[in-house]
Amino acid sequence: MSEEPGRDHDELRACLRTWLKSHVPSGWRDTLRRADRHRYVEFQHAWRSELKSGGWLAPHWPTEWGGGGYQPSEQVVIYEEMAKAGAPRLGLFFVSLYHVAATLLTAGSDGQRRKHLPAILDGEVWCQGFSEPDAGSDLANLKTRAVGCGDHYEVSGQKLWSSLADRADWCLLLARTDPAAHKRAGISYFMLDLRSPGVDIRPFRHANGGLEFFEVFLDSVPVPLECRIGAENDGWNIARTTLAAERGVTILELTERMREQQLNLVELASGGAVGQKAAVEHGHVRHLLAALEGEVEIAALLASRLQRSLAVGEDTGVQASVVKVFYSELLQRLTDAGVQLEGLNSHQASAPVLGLPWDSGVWMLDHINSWGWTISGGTNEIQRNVIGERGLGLPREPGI
Amino acid sequence: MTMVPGDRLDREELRGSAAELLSRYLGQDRLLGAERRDPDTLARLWRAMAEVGWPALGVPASDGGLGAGVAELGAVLTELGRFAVSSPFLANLLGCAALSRGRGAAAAPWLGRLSDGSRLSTVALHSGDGSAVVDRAGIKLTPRTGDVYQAAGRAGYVPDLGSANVVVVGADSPQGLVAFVLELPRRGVRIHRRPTLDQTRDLYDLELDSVEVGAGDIIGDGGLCRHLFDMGALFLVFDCVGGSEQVLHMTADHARRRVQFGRPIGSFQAVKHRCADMLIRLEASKVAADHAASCLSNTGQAEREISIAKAYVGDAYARTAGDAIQLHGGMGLTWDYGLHFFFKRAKLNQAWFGDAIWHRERVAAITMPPAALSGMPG
Repeated sequence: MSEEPGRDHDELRACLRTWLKSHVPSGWRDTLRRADRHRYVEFQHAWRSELKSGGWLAPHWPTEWGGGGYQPSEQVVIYEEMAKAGAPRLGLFFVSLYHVAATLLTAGSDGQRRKHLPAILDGEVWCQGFSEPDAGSDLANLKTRAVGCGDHYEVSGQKLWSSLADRADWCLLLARTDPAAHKRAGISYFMLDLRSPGVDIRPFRHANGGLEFFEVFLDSVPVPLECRIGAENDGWNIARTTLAAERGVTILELTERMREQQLNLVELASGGAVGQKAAVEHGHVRHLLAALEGEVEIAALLASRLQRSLAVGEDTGVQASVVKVFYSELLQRLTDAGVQLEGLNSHQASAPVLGLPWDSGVWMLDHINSWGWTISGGTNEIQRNVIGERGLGLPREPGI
Repeated sequence: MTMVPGDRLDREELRGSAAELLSRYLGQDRLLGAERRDPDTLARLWRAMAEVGWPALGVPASDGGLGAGVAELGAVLTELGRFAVSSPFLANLLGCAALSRGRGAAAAPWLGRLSDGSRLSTVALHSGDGSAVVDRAGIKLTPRTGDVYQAAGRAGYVPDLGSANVVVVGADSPQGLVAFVLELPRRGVRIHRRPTLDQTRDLYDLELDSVEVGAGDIIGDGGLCRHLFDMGALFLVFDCVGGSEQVLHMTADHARRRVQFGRPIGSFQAVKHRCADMLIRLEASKVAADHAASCLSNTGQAEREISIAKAYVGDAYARTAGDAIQLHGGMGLTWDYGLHFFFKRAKLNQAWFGDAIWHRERVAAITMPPAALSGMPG
C-alpha cells in the first residue's frame, strides 16, 4: 500500500477496473479483424482519445507533461488491470508514448519537450529510424550521414524496417555526424519531420502478406539544429539508455494475453478430430497442451517478477533479456501448436490483422509474425550474448 | 546458529546458514569426491544438522518443533540440492509431514522424538515396480479379526529406510488407499537396499510378510497419500533448483577458463548461448518453484502448480546437467570431475514422485477434464 494519501493501490485498481469495464470497446478484436488500414488508424486514435479523457493515456509520464505521474509500483497495477481487461494496445503510439517521451524527458531540451509531448498526447505519431541494410544487430555500423551546415544538418541515407512509417508524422533518427570517430562515438540523435523535402517512404511486403515494412530514403533532408536531441555525437549513449525503457512494460500484457491464446488452443483441440477421436483425447496432444499451459504460467510469473523489481528500482541485471527470450520462443511454439492443431484449414489464404499481429487467431499468420518477436527488439542471439556476457561473465567475442 | 522453538525463521538466513554448514562439512571445492559419500562424514553432517535444529524444521511448533513453512523448507532443500548431499533430511521431512498431518494415536508420540534428529522417519509412497502408490499400491492390507489387518507386499524406492525408526506406508485396503505407521525393526519386515546409479541417494525396498497392523496404526486415507506425494514432488523441485544453479556455475566457470583456439571457449557463441539457455531455464524454474510453494502455503492445495513445477523443473535440471557434460568436453564424462553425480541425481529426480508425463497428465485432467470436452459422434 502506498503511503501517499489518495494513491492507495487497491483504490487505484478498483477505479481503473470500473473505468475499463465501461470504456473498453466491446468486440474490438473483431472490429480490427474486419478493418483496413484507414479504419485501424481511426480505431487507434479513438482509443487514445478515450484513454486521454479518462486520464489513463500516459501513466508513466510526469504530471507536468500531461501524464499520470504514477509511481512505478502503481504503473504495474495499471498495466495489470489493462491486461486483465483485455484493453486494446496503442500500437500506433508505442514509439511516441515510450521511446520518444523517455528520450526527450532524459536528454531533450525544454523547447523540444514543449513542442512534442503535448502533441503526442493529442495523437502525433512517431516511427523509429535506426536499422539500415548494413546495420541490424550491429546498429553502430549505421551509415546514414548528417552533415552540419550551420543552422541545420543535411541528412542522407536509408533506414529499414520502420514499421508505421507511412502513418507517422515524425521519426526518431540515428545518424552519423562524425565519420572519422570510432563507430559508436560519431552518432547523433535527431527528430525528423517526415514531411520534410527529400524524404521518400516506400513500403515492402512482410512475409505475412501485409505492406507493413518500410524503407525510408533520405536525400539531403534538411534537419534544423533544434531538432538534434542532446549533444552532437552523443546519440549512441542516449539511445542505449532509452531503449531499455521499452522492455518491462509491455511484456506483462503479452504474457496475460498468452493465457487466453493457450485456452483457445485447448478449445481448438477439443473441437478438431485427428483420426477417430478429438485431438485433445490423444495423449501427446494433452501433454503438449499441459506443457504449454505450464510454460505460459511461468512466462507470466517471470514478467510479473520483472515488473515488480522495476517498480521498486531494483537492478534487474539480465532479467529483461531472459523474459524476452522465454516469451518469444514460447510464443513461437504455442502458435505452431495452433497451426498443427488446425491442420490443413490453417493454410487457407488470409489477410493479416493490423493491431493483432501475434494473437489474431489466424494461427499461421500469428506463427509467422512470432518471428517478429524473436528477431526484433534485439535478436534472441544477441539476447543470449547479453545473458552470457553480463549475466554469466563469459568473455565477449573479439570485436572489430 | 542453533534454532529453537519460537524462533522466527527467515528464508534468506536459513539459506545462508545451510550453505555455510554444508560447505564446512563437504569442502569448499565444488567437486564431489569420494569423501562426499563417506559414511562417517555423512553421519557427522547429520549430527551437525541436528545440533542446529534442522530435523525440527519439519515438526509443527505445537509438537515442539520449529514448524517451518514450505518456503523456508525450500531454502534448505535448495542448498542440499546445490551440494547434491546424501542425507536423510528429505525422507525425515516427509515422515514428519505424514505424522503431523495424520490422525490417530500412532502418529503423535513420534513427533517429539523426531525433532532432535536422534530418531529418523521416512515414507513409502512407491510400489516395488516404481509406480506411484496413488496409482498402484504394492502393499495390501487384508482384514483379519476385529480391527486388525495383515499387511503384505512390497514397496520400493523408499528413501533412507535403512536408518529409519519409523515409516509411514501407503497401502491398499478394503476402504481404499490408506497410510499406516510402521515401527522398525519389526518381525515380518524385510528391508533391501536398492543401489542406484545416483549414489547420492539411499533407496530401499520394504517387504512385508504377514505383518500385523492395527486400525489405530492407520493415520490417513488416499487424501493424505496424495498430499504427501505432492510434498515429495515439491521438495524435489527445490533440489532441482539448487542443483541447476550449481551445475550452471561450474559450467560458466569452465567456459571462462578453458582456452582453445586462442580464446576462452565461453567466447564462442555456441557455448555462450547454451549457457544462456541454462540461465533462462534456471530463472523459469525458480519462479515455478516459488509459485507452487506460495500457492500451497496460501491455500493448502496446489496440485496444478506443483505438477507444472515438477514437470518443468525436473526436465530443466536434467537438460542443464546434460548440457553441462557436453560443454565440459571429455572432462564431463570422467568420474572424478563429479559432474555425473548431478546428472544422475537430476535424472532420478525426474522419475521420482511423478515424472513429467505423470504430472502433465494431472494438469491436463484439471484443465481438460474428459467430461468437459465436446464429444465425438458415434
